[in-house]
Amino acid sequence: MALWFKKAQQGPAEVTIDRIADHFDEVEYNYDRQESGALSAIFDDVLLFVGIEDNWFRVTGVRWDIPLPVERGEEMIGWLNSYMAETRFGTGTIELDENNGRYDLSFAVVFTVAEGLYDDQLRDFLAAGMGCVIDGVKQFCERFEIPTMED
Amino acid sequence: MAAPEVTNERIEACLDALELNYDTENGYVYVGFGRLICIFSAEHPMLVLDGMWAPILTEEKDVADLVGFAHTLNDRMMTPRTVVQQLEDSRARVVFGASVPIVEGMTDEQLKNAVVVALESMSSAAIELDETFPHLVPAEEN
Repeated sequence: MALWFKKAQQGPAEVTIDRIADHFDEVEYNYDRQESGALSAIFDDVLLFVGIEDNWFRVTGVRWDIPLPVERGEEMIGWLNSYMAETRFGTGTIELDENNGRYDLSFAVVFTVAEGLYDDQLRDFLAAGMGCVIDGVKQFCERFEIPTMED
Repeated sequence: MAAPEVTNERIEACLDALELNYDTENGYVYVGFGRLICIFSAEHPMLVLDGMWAPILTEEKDVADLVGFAHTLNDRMMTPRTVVQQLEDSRARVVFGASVPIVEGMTDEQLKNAVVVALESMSSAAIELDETFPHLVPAEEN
């Protein structure tokens, strides 16, 4: 009688973009690969990027070309600070695009993965990161009454 | 769960291994570096790795300046996230966060790495605050 055993994972494995892509394939997420190596996807009308940078696992939600006057930058920074004071994960920042005079919002979750992750841990990091980033972008857009994606 | 559960006892063992002094109170582990106070605890589903810069902000202008500076730090540094937190009576303080999900546990190496990254990054951010806002640091410490 043949017995089949699933080989146990020996230890936390290096976190690579291919491992993340494998997980996305497994759960049937649609995504693209960027030239930078990061994965991009749209979830709940929020554009996300997932990448690995020097042992950092990073999920970033963006809202480019915010259709608000530059004069409201301070108000946006103040709101981001207040939002972060009430939440645990996610860092929201805005940056002025000098080419079009509009702010871009970036809401990022970053975790160190220098010691690798087990598959279950990677799934947990992805779930926590993506959930917080989507919430952050959506809450920002709701507060400033703009759609979550540019036209 | 492939890795062991994270507990406050494991956080303390990690700090012992790093030969750092700490205090424990009300379920939190405290580590102090100058004007930085780090507050760690295992609060499932996350390992809370927080910090706070000791000065209390009482002037409206300082609060506004610190909110702007925290934003530039957040733009520049991967971690920690830096936030100005409102307290009672219109006072405020700067807090740091570098928490990590721990639903699936952590190995000793992962826990040590998370703690060291939190300590180093929060120390760097606190030093920048010391240097940029010296008027908020008590004169005898300057």
